[in-house]
Amino acid sequence: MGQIMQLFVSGLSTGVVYGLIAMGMVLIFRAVGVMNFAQGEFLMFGGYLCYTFNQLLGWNIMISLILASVGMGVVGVLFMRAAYWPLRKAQARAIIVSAMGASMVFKEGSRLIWGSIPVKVDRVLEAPVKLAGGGIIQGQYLAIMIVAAILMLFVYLLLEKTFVGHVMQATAQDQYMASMVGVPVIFSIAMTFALSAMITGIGGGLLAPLFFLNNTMGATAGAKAFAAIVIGGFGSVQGAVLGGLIVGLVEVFGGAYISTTYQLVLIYIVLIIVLMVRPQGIFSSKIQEKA
Amino acid sequence: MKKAFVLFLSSMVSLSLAACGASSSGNAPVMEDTKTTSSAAAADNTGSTTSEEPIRIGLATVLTGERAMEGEYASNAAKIITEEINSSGGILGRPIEIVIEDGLGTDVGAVNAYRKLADDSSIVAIVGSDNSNDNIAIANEAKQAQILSTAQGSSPTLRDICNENPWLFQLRACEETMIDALIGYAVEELGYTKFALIHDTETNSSDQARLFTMALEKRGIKPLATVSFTTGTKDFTSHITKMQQVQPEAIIGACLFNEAAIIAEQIRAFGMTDMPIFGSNAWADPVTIGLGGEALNGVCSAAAWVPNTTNEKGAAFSQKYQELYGHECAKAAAQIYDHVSIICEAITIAGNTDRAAIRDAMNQITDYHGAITIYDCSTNGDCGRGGLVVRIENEVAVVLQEIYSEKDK
Repeated sequence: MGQIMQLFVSGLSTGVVYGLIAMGMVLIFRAVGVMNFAQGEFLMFGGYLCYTFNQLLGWNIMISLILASVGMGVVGVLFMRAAYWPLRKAQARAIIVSAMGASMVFKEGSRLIWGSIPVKVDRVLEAPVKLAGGGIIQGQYLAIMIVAAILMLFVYLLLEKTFVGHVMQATAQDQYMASMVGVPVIFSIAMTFALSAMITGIGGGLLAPLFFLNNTMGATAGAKAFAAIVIGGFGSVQGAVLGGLIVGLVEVFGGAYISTTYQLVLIYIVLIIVLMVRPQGIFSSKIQEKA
Repeated sequence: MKKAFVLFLSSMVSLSLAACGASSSGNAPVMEDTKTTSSAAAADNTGSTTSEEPIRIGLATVLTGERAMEGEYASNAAKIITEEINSSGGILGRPIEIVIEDGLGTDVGAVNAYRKLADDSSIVAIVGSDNSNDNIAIANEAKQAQILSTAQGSSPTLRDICNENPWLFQLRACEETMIDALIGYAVEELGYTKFALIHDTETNSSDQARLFTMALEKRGIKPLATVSFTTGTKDFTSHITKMQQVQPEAIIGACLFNEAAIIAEQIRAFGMTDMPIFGSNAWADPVTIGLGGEALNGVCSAAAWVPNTTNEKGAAFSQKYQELYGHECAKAAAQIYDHVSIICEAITIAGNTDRAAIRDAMNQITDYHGAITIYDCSTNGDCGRGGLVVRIENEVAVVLQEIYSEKDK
């Protein structure tokens, strides 16, 4: 029982991480209809900004996380302006290639700025926590779960309950119509990119003490987050979170009971099964329903 | 669009400047020279009194991509050895110049970088990258180009390839010797008999896992459990759970830096605070210790190099590196120091810079005392004769034993 509990908690905590990255990806997908292939680099860049404030400038980790998040908001807007906006009327493939190019700029730019030797930042919670049902959860994973829950709630409230959120949703559904009724489209899309980069950037800062920071940090996590989105349903924020949790649990339980070597393969087997049974993913978004 | 790009780039530059300024007082090393082809190593540090044409030595390393850390260490070491040699009069009265090419960290990239260097007739020898696969990939190229090439990899497969290739030298102790010494220490001196093995599935770590298993079997021991993972795995709950189930006395780990640090942290976090760990050479690397911190205390490893080496020449180099670059010197740097030194020794013996003459001279080096170990190049494979069995204590790798073996000829 203790072992199953341990696996469940580990699966859940890694799943939350994938869900967080996936949520950032989905926000952009909803806004512009194209997957952001530089999302993993938002994670890495956010981690490095946090490292700069926390380790190089010696500031408290919580302050560093907040500043890194703000910094990533700016990076998100710049990224949108440089890599997406000039190509907004081009075919989707042009935007994808642009994002992939930006991904390289982020990776190699980070190497030039912070070097290639992996680094880490302070943990928010240090000590492991013993759970009532057996099992141990690392303090940092607990912190990630708490922060992720807060962020998810924040995103939900922002999108569903605020005027700004409604503007962002309207732009996501139909840019042309939104502009016709006076919605400032560029502002709305910039907000979405900023929000996405901020969420993922915080994830980078929180993950840095566990996974360590190097300029290729975002690649693996990004791939699993992508699987989470497909499982959860393209364009659905709830789907991205649920997909992330499924990926995390499949990874951990599959590793323990089937094969540690083929954990990634197991994730993709689940992905294929979901695509066969429910091609639109577990949740289907409003955008897809309209289409 | 242009304005946006300018804004984006200028912010990157600003961040760069801010971080560089900050890192000078912090721990972060920042690579100063990132040119793909760099003659700066020599140009900045010639320290030479002669105006002769420099002797050019190629260095195929990794400056970009996932293994860029290797290139950072290699470039730093190249500058140190260039300055040392040139300030003491050079080789054959000429300064040396190290020409760096980026192998991108892939087999194809390694071959392309190597070809570019080999095609340059002014280059007299080439130092290959710190990866057995890359070294194996360039073996045939070395034969075709007929240029002395040194390999930093330590796999037994590479040793056999080098022994059949007159142009390629494995300037490293073969992993077989190192792992056998570590397992000998674990079993014969510490008395452990029950092991669980965890390893990465990438080629070099898999090879190390095979050698760990062989070294155990040689002593009549079979690992109770062998679990593997793909590079990039971050959560090891299922792996640790599987190892816990077999109740080992010690865990053996074969993987690279990041994964080694994460595994150590997670093993300790799961309550196995005193579990002895015996790791492949990456486990005792300063980078791994810097990441894993106190979770690595108690880990034993057979390392080619540690910054506080007992080797006198190595200690001097380590100190110089630390003073110049503000962080500890890793194996990737020490190897470049030794490789370039040995190539220069071969050029001195040859008395000229003819590629074939330098290659022939290389086989005459049988007792070269480098910063890492003693080198015997009488045969091309397994030229490094040893390393160190170390134990990490208070986040420092402390030397327990020196490994040395005579070469089988």
